[in-house]
Amino acid sequence: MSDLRRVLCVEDDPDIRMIIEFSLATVGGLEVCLCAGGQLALKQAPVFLPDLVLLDVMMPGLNGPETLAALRLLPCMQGVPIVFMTAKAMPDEVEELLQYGATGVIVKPFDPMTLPQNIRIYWEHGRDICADL
Amino acid sequence: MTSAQTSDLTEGLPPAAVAQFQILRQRFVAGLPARWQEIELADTHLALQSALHRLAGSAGSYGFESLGHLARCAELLAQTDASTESSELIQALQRLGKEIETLQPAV
Repeated sequence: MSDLRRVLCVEDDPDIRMIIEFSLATVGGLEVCLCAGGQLALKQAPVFLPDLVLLDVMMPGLNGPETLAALRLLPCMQGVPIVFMTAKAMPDEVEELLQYGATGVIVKPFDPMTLPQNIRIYWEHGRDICADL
Repeated sequence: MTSAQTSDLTEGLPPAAVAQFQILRQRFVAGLPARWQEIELADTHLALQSALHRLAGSAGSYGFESLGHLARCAELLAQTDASTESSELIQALQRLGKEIETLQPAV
C-alpha cells in the first residue's frame, strides 16, 4: 500500500511556508514542495507528483479555490486530496470550502507538531473517497 | 512565550529539531517590525485587513498565541468598521504594537 510521502504546499506568506516546511519535513518526515502562489503550483504539480496538496485560501493572483479548480484539470492531480488552510473557520465558511471539492480544511494558526498527523488523516480519508468511486 | 512553554511545544522532538524551531521563531520575531510597518503604512482598508490576517494566521504556529489573538481582534474590527480611524480599531492596533515591542528583546 502506498504511503503519504510528498506534499505540495501553496502559501503566499513566507513565515507560514517556513513553519510548514519545518512541520512536514522535520517533524513529519515528509517530502515537501513549497510554492508561493497558485501559478507556481500548477507548474510544480506535474513534476513533483504530490500525494496531497495543502492550499491556502486567500492569496494574491490565483486564490485557493481557483488554484484547486485549475489543479483538478491536470491528469496527475486526479484523486489527489487537496486540503485548504484558512484562518476563516466559521462552519458556513468551512462548508463552502468543502463544496469546492476539498478533502478537508486546516485552520490557521495550526500546531506545527500535529499538522503532519492531521493531514495524514485527510490523506487517508481522501484516498478512501477515491477508492469508493 | 516563556522558554518553558516552548519546551512544551517541542516536547519529544530531537535536539536538532528543537534548535531549528528556535531559529525559525527568532526569524519570525525579527520580521515583526516589518509586518508592523506594513500594518501602520496600509493605505487601504483591504491592505490593513490583509496584513492583520497574515499575522493572525502565522503567529500562533510559532507559539505566539497572544500576538495572534490581538492581530485577529484587530482584523475583525477592521472588517466590520468602514473607517481605519475608529477608536476601537486604533486601540486594538495600539495593543498589537505594544505586544510586538514586548516580543522584540524576548527571544
